Amino acid sequence: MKIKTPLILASCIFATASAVFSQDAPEPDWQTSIVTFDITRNNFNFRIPWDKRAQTAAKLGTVIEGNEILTTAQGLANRTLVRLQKGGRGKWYNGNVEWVDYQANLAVVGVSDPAFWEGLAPVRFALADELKRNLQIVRWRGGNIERRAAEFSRFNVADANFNQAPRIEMKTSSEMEGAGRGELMVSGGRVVGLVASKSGSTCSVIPSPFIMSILEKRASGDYRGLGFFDFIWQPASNPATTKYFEFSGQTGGVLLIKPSTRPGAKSPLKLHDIILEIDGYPIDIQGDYLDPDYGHVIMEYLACRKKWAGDIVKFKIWRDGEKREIDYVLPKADFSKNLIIDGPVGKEPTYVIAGGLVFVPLSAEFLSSWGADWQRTAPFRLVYYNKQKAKKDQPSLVVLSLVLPDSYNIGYQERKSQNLVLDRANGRQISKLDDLIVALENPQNGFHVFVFNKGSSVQKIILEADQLDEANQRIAKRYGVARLQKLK
Amino acid sequence: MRILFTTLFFTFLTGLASAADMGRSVVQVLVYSQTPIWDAPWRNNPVASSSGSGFVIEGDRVMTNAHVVSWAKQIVLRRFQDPRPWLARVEYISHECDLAVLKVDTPGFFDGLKTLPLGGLPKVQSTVLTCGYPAGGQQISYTRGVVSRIEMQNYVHIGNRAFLSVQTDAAINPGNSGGPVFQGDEVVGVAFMGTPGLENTGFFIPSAVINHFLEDVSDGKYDGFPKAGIRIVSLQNPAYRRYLGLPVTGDGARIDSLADYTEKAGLLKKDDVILAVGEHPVGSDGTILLEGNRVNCTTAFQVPQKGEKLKLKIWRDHKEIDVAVPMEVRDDDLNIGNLYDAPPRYFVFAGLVFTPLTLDYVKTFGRNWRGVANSEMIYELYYRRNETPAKVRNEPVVLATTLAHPVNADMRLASRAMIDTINGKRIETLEDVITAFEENTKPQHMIQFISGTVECLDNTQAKLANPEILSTYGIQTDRRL
Repeated sequence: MKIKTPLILASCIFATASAVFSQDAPEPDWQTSIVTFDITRNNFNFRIPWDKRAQTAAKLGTVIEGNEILTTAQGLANRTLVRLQKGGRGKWYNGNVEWVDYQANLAVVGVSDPAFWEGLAPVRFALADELKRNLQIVRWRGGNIERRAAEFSRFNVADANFNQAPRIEMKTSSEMEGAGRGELMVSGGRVVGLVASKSGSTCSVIPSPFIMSILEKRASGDYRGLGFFDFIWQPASNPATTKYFEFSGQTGGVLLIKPSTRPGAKSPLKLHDIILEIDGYPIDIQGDYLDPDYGHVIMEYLACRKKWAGDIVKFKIWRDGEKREIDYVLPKADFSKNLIIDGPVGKEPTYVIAGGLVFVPLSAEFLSSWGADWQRTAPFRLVYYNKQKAKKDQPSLVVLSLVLPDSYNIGYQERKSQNLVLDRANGRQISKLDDLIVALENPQNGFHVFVFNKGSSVQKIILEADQLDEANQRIAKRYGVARLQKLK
Repeated sequence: MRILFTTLFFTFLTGLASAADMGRSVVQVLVYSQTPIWDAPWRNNPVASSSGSGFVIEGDRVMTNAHVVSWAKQIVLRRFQDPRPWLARVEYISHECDLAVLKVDTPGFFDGLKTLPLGGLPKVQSTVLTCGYPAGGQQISYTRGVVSRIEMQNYVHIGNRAFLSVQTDAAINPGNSGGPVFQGDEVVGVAFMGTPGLENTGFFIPSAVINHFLEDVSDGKYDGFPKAGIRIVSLQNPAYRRYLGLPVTGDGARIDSLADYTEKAGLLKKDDVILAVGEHPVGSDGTILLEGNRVNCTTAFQVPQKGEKLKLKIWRDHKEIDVAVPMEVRDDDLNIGNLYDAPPRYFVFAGLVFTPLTLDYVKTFGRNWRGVANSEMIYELYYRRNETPAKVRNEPVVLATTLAHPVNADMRLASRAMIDTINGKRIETLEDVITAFEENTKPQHMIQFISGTVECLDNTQAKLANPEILSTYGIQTDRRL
């Protein structure tokens, strides 16, 4: 899941200079296979959690077998209306998201109107050995099909930025402006992948073998989601280190430095195990393996290379001076039980407003309201909880995120009364908003007593219990808050 | 009108004449200094020259700012209209309040120089005159301004302490630092800092802080400003006041949290309400009235000297009590302030350079060090002591850098990482690093970082390589303790 030293995450396989166009199949008419999406969604600000802002976004999808449209999952969270258009112009049809996996960044959309499917044809996906040559990006633009050449750069396993399952991505370069909204990357007559994002001239493409494996699994009715390795390792490239762990005479492997990142999880792996092989693939001292489809890539991808949450992955390890074989059950890429809750994507923010004090769960979504660089720009202390273990009696955290000024909460309106982690309310340990609701029903001698984590800039706030309802009504009216709490 | 004008003109001339007379006791301080390189702690930056100002105080001494003479290799004083250089040395220095006292051993320096008397706290809107040698000029400069406000300010030289400070619109420029600020015939402050981006805003250290420093050193050594180890917050919410049994609109500020040592002492408690500090009643916003100015009550906590007791009037358990708090000087937060004059401690072993975790070290990550430095380091420096005092290390140690050599070439994590254990020994101080390496008899040394990452070194080869590495990189000694 996470690596402790900087690594090159994937090998670089460069396309051959001689580009030869595929002659085996006629170029398909992409006009019949690409559709345009118009998505309306609620955009939430987790720091003003009751505030909804409607946002529309355009993206692209492609027709697949079974009268379905495949697209990326981006932009589908909190959707209120999904419409599709074929042929780059004309009538819009209402769509229905039938399946979405935000970790895999893929979604399947259906359209119930049979007229939509008339004249559309499903695409064919490229195989692993067809991914690197004669690449083009194709999309609708201004009612016409636009094509731009692209050049293969490398395969890469996306760095697990916060809490994400590892994803294989194909890096290509292209000059197509504004790409990254589900455009098709094609080669000859086949779809090589979907363009998920673009930074500078570099496109990140979800490659077709990964897409096909997921679609097949979904079709079987047994899709359990992506798994991930929940341990932390480091390269075992230092001979003195391998000697220290009595691991001599071997040429590969990585050293485990944290058996599990999941709270309360039991792992068959132990601290300072050396991982030699995963599912028969030897792991080198950098933590890479030789993938039959993608070349040298980091071992994290073996958590989702035709494997799914709940599957067993075979590990060969070195422990206590001997080799051992271990069955590792892949945990689901679900980070909602982390101390800083992450996901699931697409849920409205939850909150409780008590006397102008706005409480929210400490979540990745809340922190990301500080912007794309939130791990640096959000309050340090809040972000640092990601490095800390949850306490048994406090598996998650609730934050006083801001104070809506009112005579009731005067004295607590300064900046230092913001972004404090709540420890107890009215003597009750607070892990989630539900705990807070119960606590507010049980004031202490006529007061609501909020105690914040040690080290906070303010450790205690007290409010008058019998005036809370009146203050709540006044504050809701003054600040235009329709609901004073949202728990689910 | 004419009389008034004449009077004013006469007063102005008299003031200038008086200031010019006193200006003879203002000296230029020329300093050659050399600062260390905190992530290569055996090295120093090139020698730099700078200048400030100073003035003569009683006892044949010169007062200036600590920041003027920090890291000084040589201090030269120049008297008013006197071309001769006079060598000086630091007698006492307080980096926390940014003041220093200099001595001149060469006889004759103080001949003809008057001692400048210290006055009191100037009134807001009153006129003051700054005097010094700004911008490195050789001639003395006078600028007049008014006192804009008086309040607690963070003193940037140390970085993590706040003291009373006076803001003025009189120009205070580089080179003015350490010079006197006059009101009438008395010195009411020492010019010491400006604020980048704010025009016509300078600050001077008021006489209360200066007098505390001078009284402190009167016994021959500098102790420092004591701390109470409490965090005081306003007590203005009616519910909280009722909860504590106080009138809704009354005075008193609340102790919200205590430092570990204060909690252990047991004299003060959370939710104590401070009604008065010394003779000063404390308002519900945590301020006291000091000579007509409302300033934070911590000003009054800075009045006692080390070991003296500070009388507090406290509201606790619905009744008023008097508490005499022994005020002690604490150095537990030394490493989160800027450090001066003591070169950084370090230990070099097999090319691995270990040094204590300090603010000065993390600043080597660059201007945006808060976003760039390892989060474990920031947590350890700023949060650990408050949150989990039982787990605090006396002196967290970092691997600052690794000097490349075949013995350490295979280490992946070779710099800018905090040490957890070495050879199984928890590292509490730099001395622990030395002991852990020197006492290990196993074939490898095992270094475990706070992140969990492990790196090892061959014991025999490391020992053999050490002298060669020191020689290759020009390090005189493997340790500075």
